[in-house]
Amino acid sequence: MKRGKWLLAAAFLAPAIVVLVGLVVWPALRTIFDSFYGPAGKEFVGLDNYRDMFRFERMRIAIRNSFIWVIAFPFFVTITGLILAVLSERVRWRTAFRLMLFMPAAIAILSSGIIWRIMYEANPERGAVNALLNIPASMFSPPGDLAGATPSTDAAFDRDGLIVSLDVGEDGGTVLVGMIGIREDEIPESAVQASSIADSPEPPGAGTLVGVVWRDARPGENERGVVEAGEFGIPDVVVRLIDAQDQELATGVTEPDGSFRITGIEPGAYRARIPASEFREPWGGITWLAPELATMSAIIAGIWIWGGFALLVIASGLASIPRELQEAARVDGANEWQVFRRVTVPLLAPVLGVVFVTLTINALKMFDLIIGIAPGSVQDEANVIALEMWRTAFTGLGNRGLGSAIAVFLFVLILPVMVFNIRRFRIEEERR
Amino acid sequence: MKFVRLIAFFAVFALVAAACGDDDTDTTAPTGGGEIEVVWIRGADHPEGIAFLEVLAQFTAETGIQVNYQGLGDDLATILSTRVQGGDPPDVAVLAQPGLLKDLVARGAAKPVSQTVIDGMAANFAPVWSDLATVDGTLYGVYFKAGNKSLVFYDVQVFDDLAITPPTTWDEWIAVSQTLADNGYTALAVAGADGWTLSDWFENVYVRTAGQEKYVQLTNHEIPWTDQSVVDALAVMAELVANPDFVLGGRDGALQTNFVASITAVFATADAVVVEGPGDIAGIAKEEAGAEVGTDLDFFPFPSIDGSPAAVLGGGDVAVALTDNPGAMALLEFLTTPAAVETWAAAGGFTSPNQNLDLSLYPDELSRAVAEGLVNAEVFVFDLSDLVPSAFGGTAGAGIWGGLQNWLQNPDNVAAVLAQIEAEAEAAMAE
Repeated sequence: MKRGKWLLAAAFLAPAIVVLVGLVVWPALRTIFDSFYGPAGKEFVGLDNYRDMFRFERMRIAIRNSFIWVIAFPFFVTITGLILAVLSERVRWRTAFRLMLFMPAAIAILSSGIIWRIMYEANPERGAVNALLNIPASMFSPPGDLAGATPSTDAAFDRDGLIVSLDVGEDGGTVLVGMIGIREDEIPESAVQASSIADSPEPPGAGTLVGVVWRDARPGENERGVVEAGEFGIPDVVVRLIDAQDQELATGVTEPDGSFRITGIEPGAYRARIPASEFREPWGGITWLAPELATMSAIIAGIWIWGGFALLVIASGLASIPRELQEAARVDGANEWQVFRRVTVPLLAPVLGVVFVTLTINALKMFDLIIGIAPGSVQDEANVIALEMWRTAFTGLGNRGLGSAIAVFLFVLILPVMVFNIRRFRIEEERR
Repeated sequence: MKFVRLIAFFAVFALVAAACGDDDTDTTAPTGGGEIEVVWIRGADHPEGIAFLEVLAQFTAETGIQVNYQGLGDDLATILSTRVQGGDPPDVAVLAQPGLLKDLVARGAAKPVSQTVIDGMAANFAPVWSDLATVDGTLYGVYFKAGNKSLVFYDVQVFDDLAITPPTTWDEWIAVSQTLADNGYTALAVAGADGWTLSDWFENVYVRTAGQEKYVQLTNHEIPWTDQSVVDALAVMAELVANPDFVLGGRDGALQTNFVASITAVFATADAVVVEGPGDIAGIAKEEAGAEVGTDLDFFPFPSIDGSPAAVLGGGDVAVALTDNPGAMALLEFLTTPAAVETWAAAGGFTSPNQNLDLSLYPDELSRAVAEGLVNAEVFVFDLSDLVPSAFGGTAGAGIWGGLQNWLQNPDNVAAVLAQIEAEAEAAMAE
């Protein structure tokens, strides 16, 4: 009979054991085994792979980034989840609210990565994040009419705008300010053929300065610095005349043909300035996925993805806290912050621990988010250990030995967190 | 279900019978049935995948051999290498990287072609195409599809408005770019987020500044990447590609722009005017922005540099048999014939190096020009990054691709970048 019982037990356990051995134990052992072998798994190299992996710049960046992930990601996600959970307690439609925040967790992480890659596009016309930031940016510093333009005549930019040196003689003076780098459809519609007034053999007359600000470009052949047929004046440009002490003497505004006229000035050397606001470029957006920012941007996307998960777990923990304790604290005169800080958070500590540890493990294993979010050119800079393992083992020539060694290294890093988790789990069990 | 199995059983039986040289059957087809598995990068729902499936359907109609097609996408190299390692390769793989062909031959996975294929190649293709699929004197595959990567596409409207004529020399191209910049346009979209577009740029410049001989030497790593000719080529390339006045978004912007985005920037959102790349650009521009060749989009051959001869940098897809399944070799034989790709050529977006394919079949100027370029170029070189081991020439963020991205990030740092590329080349070639 006893033998029969054993057989029965074995029969019931067999499928689980087969699956466990086939899909967990064997691959794990094989990985450790492979990590002592060369790229193709043929020659034995001992511990070389474990030494070599720290020699690669890419791997060092990956380790640094994984470290940043482990420090920042669990912390910010747990805090976000905690704040949202406590706040949503007070919301009438809290279930709908929480469901909405949880939704990103239901999206495949790779897809989330691609979604954020598109949202992080630098051009505010395409990337949602920069489009949002562009609203205040364009409100406080609207782009000027001459955005993107550079002078084709003798002139130089300083902090306050474009500076042109000029002389006014006994018969007055003339000045030409050519502009390139603006499209024809970017100058106001009122613009007409640029004025040739400055080329006129007749001097402008005593005390008079005339000038032309024009678009020094046209289809076909084009000589720089010369007003030619087919080149348009730039209307409505403010030109300030300043003296050597930077004192503003007079102001002119250009006509549709680009000409302006300032009268009543003494002969001498002056400078004309077109203010910097005319040249202000539209806000170009932040390159969120630039090499220096990519890890931070990915962590923000990670908060969006896992924040809902943290919220849900912490909210369920909140629901099981006895209300009397919070009520008692309030009766004793504690304010809401004190109740939160001294009563709610300590009671939630076990739940927060679970969330934190789960997220720490997730941070170490981070892979699909990075591969989705980082453009090819910044995959080196946004690299993490798990991604480096895959890239080493499966892309290019495929160094299986080194890839396996990285996998084992990652496992060793995760191990203490797992041990901690299991131990705490046991203590919890014993308490019950 | 049972019926299907029965048929499959007989099909396999017939195949075995045919393979054993049993001549009792009257079938005219060489193998009289059977099934083969064919893999390529394009998915079965991709326009190119659909067109290739039509070629395979024609093959099935003529030979009775069923084809099970798998489009593996960019992971083809990864999946293929895993399956070869596991002893379960597909019957035929169509590879876009000759480096991968070398890898497979080195592993003993690729099967030498039959005499019929050798004769078919000799009859229909210039010798260069057989040479490209030959490793250590043995022919392993059929280049039935090829592309011309020495093309530059532009927005016709802007060129007409500014009375610009397409440049034929590098200096003219720089002058055109300056004219565009003067008129407020961004001259160039560069897809630096994808490394391969940068390697195409580099190769086009290098074959013109250093010449074909050096190009081949560099490909075979007989000269190091730190060679002065490479430094010089990068300096020339920087005049356009690394010039923030010309490139959309400057160098940082280029590094965030992927291939398709560089095309839509020119033909959909009009952020830039010119984009360099393979003939596929016309197809993508049409698909993404409805741009028509001639009215919206036109192209010029990659300009000559300092009087260099007309050079074409090409890419191609090679079909390789990986099993002894007779259906596999039958497909390779079929692919050497002009008849196999006539329908595809007529459908557009496809060019073949097959000399006996009637040029008038191509539906548009672009395909015809590309195909003519393939046949008539004074210099033809295969894409260098496809000829070297894929770890060096075909891996995102590493080797040539990653190196050129680093260069674009900091073009002043040529020495360090080339030293890094050279180190990776040595490691990859040693394998």
